[in-house]
Amino acid sequence: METLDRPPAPAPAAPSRRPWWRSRKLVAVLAVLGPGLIAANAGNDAGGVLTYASAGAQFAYKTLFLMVLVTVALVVVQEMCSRLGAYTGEGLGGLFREQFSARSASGALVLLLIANVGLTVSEFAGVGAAMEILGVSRFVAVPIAAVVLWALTVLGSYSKAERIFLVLSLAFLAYPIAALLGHPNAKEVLSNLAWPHFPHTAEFAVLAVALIGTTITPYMQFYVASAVVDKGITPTGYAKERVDTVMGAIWSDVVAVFIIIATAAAIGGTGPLQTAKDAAAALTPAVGSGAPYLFAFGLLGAALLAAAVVPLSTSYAIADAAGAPRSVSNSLREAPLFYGLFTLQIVVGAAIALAPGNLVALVVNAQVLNGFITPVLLTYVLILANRRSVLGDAVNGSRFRVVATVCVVVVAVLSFLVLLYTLRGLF
Amino acid sequence: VRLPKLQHERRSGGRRTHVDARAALRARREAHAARRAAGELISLARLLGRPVRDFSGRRVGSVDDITVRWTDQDTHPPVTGVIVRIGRGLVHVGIDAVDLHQDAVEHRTKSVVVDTPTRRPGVVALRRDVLDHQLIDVAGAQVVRAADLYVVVASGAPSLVGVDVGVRAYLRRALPTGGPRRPSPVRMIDWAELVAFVPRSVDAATGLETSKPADATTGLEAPGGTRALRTAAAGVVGGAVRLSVGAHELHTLSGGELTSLMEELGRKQQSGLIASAHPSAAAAALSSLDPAAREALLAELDPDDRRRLRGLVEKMSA
Repeated sequence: METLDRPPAPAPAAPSRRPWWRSRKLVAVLAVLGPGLIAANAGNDAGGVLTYASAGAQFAYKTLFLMVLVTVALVVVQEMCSRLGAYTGEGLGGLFREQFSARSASGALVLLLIANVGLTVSEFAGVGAAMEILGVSRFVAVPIAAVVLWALTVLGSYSKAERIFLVLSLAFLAYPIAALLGHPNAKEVLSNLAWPHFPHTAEFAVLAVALIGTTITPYMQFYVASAVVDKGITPTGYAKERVDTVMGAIWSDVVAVFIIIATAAAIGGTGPLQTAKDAAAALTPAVGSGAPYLFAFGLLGAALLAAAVVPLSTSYAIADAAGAPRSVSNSLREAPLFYGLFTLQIVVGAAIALAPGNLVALVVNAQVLNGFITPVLLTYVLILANRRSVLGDAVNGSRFRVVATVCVVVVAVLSFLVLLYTLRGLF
Repeated sequence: VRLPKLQHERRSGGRRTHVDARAALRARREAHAARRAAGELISLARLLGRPVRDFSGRRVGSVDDITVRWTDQDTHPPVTGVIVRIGRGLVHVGIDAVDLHQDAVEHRTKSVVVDTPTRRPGVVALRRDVLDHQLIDVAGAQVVRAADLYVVVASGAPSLVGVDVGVRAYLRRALPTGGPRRPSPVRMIDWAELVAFVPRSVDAATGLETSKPADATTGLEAPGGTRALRTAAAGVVGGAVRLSVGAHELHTLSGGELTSLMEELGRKQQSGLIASAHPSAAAAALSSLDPAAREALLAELDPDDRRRLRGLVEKMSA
């Protein structure tokens, strides 16, 4: 993956005059958009948007306080991961291999693969849902999307397509406007943000795990650490990166909160989302009758972007740990493990997304799976960030250690409870 | 041996193609050589956690690490000792006091002197510093990771011969079933291809740079022009071991090359013993060898020693 490759040697400055889009001022502004911000915003993918919208539709504003807690946990986790990248110069895959036994490290990477296959399923389900709004059957759209993404990535022109997907996914910035124009109940919003109003039901617990799973995704943790390394950020430059990471996590969840508020104001309390078109209703106050189309294009962009990036980052992490070639600039023959894993995830993700049933439910279930796996991988990250032999003086301080441990334990307990609920429902 | 020019025929895509039997025979010989060499290799990954037994055969601890000395003179670093885990503690036992086997380490004598494991200049702890760490090429890009390290005991002296960078070697350790436990050096790099440990960036403890091109013979130049040890950055988190070649020039040893390397190491050890022995004892030992082996050993010695010993051997045989 080009974005995660080690940076090439800096080229000498071109003497020609720069066009406006490459002006120094713009570059300086874009430089602030570091790995932390990009990684955290990657969480607002198809799965994220549909899960947040489902939370707003099913429980109105009642999940808002949970999002405040999740934001704290996201800040803590993303900061630890970017610190590990900056101080060790290694991605999490490599660090797992160096710092844990071969069996523990490979177990963690298998879990990452499972979590990210689940995420890939939800991205292809997002493609299907978006195309159904536009009147195209998912049984046509999903296979075409899978083949096109695979070909673009393997044949080497993915980076151009990535920019188009990124621009499409900016459509979700309409949510904050929609949330303001939708006249939500301000008193209720503030009350739910400041104090928990959690219903004691199994459905709420499952959705809570899905919200955690879609916000604190293992993929984002691996991505931010690799991106920090890729950008060449060292301990001396880490102070700025910390700001970027914290701001990125907060901004990402602010957008998520607006999605919940906008959906709650439009269709809150009507039960779980049945179709993606219902979620688009939340955008009506902002864009009127064009809401379904804006939502569809936004969902399509976010889903296509993540449907390629998530499998690529998984393949990168596993190939890194295995010590195998791992770049999109390698040929299929040169990097069989990297491309093999990528292909496997695309094929499995697209195939499961074609299974008959409710696409929104499939997406939310994939986030629940992520919610189960997240605490396990967070434990590895926590152990690394607590090791003085790994981080030296940048090791977790005593207060940070307590906060981080509480975050991991709460996520783990919640996941365990949902697992118990699920098993009780099965038997 | 001149091989008969046999030709096999096989069907491929509906057309007959001819395959030279020489290639097949060569491949079989390579595989045989690799199997024979593998039988003599001691795998670090396999030895870790295995018992350390005292002179009477009683288990006293388990293998935690192996240390080697890596200096400019050591293309294949000699093993200097074993770090043994006893309960929750660690001790270092010098290699003179123990014998390394494929599945265990045994004390040679009834009483063994141990000391506290400490990081010394020029000494590398293979598990901590190399196993699973990155090997980077001359340009500083990660090429592979060390999945296993192999030690060979040549003339009683164990030395580090190479690094296995294959996925199969890693799976042997990672799979719950353990996979095939026997060392299978399919993707093994000669340790002589490695130059030095490098930290990831200039602000690491040693002040060395990863981006600086490697010195072909010695490793690294430290700031100020002084020569740094190959091992100055060993054990630094995120550090790596640098290769002397580019990623595309990475060469893995064939079975035949591994056998030759082990024979060469044996000769070097023997010549070292002969050079340090009394001339009359050395000449007697040389006389007992067949002429080809004797000449190969003499070729490893200094010219003066070679001349003197050759004269003594001729006198003895006369």
